[in-house]
Amino acid sequence: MLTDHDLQTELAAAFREQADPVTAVAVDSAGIFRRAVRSRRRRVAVRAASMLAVVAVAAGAFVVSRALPPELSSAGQPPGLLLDAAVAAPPPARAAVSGMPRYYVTADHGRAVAEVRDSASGKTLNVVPLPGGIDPKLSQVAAAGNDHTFVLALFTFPRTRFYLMQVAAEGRSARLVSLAIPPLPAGAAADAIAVSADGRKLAVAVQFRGGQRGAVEVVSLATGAVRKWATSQAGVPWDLSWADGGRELGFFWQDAGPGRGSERTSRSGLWLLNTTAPGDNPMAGRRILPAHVGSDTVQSAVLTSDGSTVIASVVYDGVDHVNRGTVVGGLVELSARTGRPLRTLLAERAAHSADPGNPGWYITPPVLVAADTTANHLLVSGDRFGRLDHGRFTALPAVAPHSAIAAAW
Amino acid sequence: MAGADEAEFEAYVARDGGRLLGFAVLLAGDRQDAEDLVQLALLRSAGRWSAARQHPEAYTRTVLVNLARDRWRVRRRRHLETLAADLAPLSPAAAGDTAAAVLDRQLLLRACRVLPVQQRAVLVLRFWEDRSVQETAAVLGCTEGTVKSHTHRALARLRLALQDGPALVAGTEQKEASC
Repeated sequence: MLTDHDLQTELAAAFREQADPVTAVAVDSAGIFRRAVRSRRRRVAVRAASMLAVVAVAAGAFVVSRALPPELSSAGQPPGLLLDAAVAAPPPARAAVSGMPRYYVTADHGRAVAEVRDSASGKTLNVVPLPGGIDPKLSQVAAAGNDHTFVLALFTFPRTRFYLMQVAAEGRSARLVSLAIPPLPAGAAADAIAVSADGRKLAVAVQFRGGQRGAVEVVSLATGAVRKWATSQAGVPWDLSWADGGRELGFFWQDAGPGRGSERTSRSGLWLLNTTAPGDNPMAGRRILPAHVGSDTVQSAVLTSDGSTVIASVVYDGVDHVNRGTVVGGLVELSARTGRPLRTLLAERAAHSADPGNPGWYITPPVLVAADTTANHLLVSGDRFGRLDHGRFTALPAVAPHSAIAAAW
Repeated sequence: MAGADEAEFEAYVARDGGRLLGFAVLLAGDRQDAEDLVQLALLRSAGRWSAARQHPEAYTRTVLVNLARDRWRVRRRRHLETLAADLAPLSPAAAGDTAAAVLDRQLLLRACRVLPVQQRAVLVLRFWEDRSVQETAAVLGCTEGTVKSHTHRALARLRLALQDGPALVAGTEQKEASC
């Protein structure tokens, strides 16, 4: 019988084996402040990667069935509350792509380039070098929804600046110019940007130095005038979406700091902000969708331009067993008024990796990368990167599913 | 930060930076994540140096544990059931001989990774940093009773993991305890 003392002894030895060599590393205090910015970049990159990355559900909620090998395990666990809606029956391919944007623009978080790609084929139409000195991991891109106007937020230490990209000539011409609007405060990063449907306003989800506080800003692209909504509570916004003709703004708020873990006090979720109303509290409006609904976790969510529905990426935590085929997450369309799920646009199922270095069950819920103005056409990344047109998925080449990019169309 | 404070902060980092990184590695289980955590924790400590300077080791470790917990909560990349497959190869004989099984320290470290951050922090402070219950409680800003309880539960879970494999996985990481 293993005694507590034996276990503690072995544990101490294991800790020493792993950590003692690291303690010899000299930490350079002179670079901490600079590195902290890099660290924030990584956080955003993780966030960006999260928009594209493998997502998983708490290991604690799952137990692999060991009685059967994965390929023989039974499937079909019940879906979660938010996934408890019929999976959409996609229309025929030709009908599905009707009204689809012609291009999408990606900003690669590993390279200082933006690429214009053909929406139908994913083929690269244009590669646009971004300004020298930018940190590509913090790049964000938004589309005006007219197939030729895109806005990029690019970080050059220590500031984030904004640029306009005009795409023309069937995507083969693309011009990048600096926008005459104020950069973000030093050290702040844009976690998301969104252009209003009329192309006159830019919404920015700002993450301030330290990563614990954020704000929503709306900038007039004509005058550069900035209006800011901030709260004294720790947390950051992301996933911006305009609705109601540029009057209302949806943003996903993620709590940070004390109390963030409590579902009762959590303010995380998709909020609606009336940008024409007085005040500077981003939570002055209503929360359309909490981040936690029963055992489901909403990873990201955007409001459609008419404000009637929400597209949300959901992870389902409430299963006791994971098997091949278990529904573990998906993209769900919900009513913005009631929060009730209307249909499941894409259901994601558990997959098993036999990688000897890291075996186990993986969950890769589709992550909403971008929505067009109608939200009928989505760029998503799960097991594969691709388009989701009215619930019909089409894989797009050249972008690995877990690569870190920002994209818009 | 004023010149004197900066010098004091630099001296602290030079003295404790390596240990802090080791602590973060054990907490995060990953060198890159650990470096990020240390950077952020040191930045926060520098920003509140007037408060941190009295007990910078404790202050920075507390910040680091909180950051690790935050990170876990918002982290969107997680891996299911690492342990299940790792532990599955234990033969019945080996599972019966847990003293032999525990010699696989990699297995033990993997088992630690699915403990709640607070429990992991307690184990690291107690058995790597060799701190007393009282010191651990002071670093984590909790009571000695909480430290004892975390230690007991964490060791029980590790033992269970070594004996029963995937049973450990149930109900761990999402249910984050705090001091």
